[in-house]
Amino acid sequence: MTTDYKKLLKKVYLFSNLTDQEIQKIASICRPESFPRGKLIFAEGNPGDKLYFIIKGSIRVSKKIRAGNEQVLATLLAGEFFGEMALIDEVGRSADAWAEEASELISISKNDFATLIFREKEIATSLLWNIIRTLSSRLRTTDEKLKSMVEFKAGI
Amino acid sequence: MKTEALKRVYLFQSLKNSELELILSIARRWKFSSGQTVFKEGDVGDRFYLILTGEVRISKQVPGIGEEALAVLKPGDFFGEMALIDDASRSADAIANQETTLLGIERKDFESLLFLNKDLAYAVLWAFSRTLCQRLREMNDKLQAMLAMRGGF
Repeated sequence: MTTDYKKLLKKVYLFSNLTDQEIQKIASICRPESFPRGKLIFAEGNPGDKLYFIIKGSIRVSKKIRAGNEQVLATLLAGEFFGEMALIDEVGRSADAWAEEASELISISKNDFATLIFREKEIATSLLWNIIRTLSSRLRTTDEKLKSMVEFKAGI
Repeated sequence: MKTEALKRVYLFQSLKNSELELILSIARRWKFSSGQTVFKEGDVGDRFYLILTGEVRISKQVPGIGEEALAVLKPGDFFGEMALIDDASRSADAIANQETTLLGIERKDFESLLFLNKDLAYAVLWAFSRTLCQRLREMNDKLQAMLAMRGGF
């Protein structure tokens, strides 16, 4: 079972710089989870207790605007991860996550993740660098969306 | 040079004095005269700056209007830290408002230092992650608020 995880984990961008031995340590704290199409994985405001990696399928990350209306922040595919923000800053989930299609995920609990990266500084720095780069690119995308909206408003 | 100035930067807040000394060892002073450009919007950034003395104006060129100042930064303030992460271009101009001395840290030096000092890296990178998370949350909320305001659609 763990060998299966290892192969899958190697496809996840977050782990791309890790050695086989390090991947093995990550694999030991992974749990598989499957979600049918249309299922809510977590809702905005929920306490964040897990980080998810997409093995198969796609996940829609969105925010509710008004009843029955949502703004999609991102659609994430195999190899990508989500739910990392709640692990980092202890605030609740910042958006909803939905299975856009039947999806296979791997989850890591907040406690297991914190323990591992505290003990394994080598793994920690590599993961944190990748998390920071991902956050930075998500920030940029959101900033651009925001800017285009401001321009749109100004144009009215 | 004092490590005190560095302690005000959120990235370095939790560092011990010995670790702050390591950060100082890769930092270099840059002098700018009044009106001199530190960087321009669109430049590829590879350096983080902390203001030691003087003032830096962060501004954007608005077509048809001219320069729009976004902020005036004072000693102890810093800017351009995103350049420590990736090759993204600068999002605004930075211009010395008067005679100014900056402390600059270059990405490649920062990366090597963190690579060699895992405890230091752990502290700095956690602080970085937390701040980016917070900014992303704020920005997502802003986006949500703007979309709600747009109504009607």
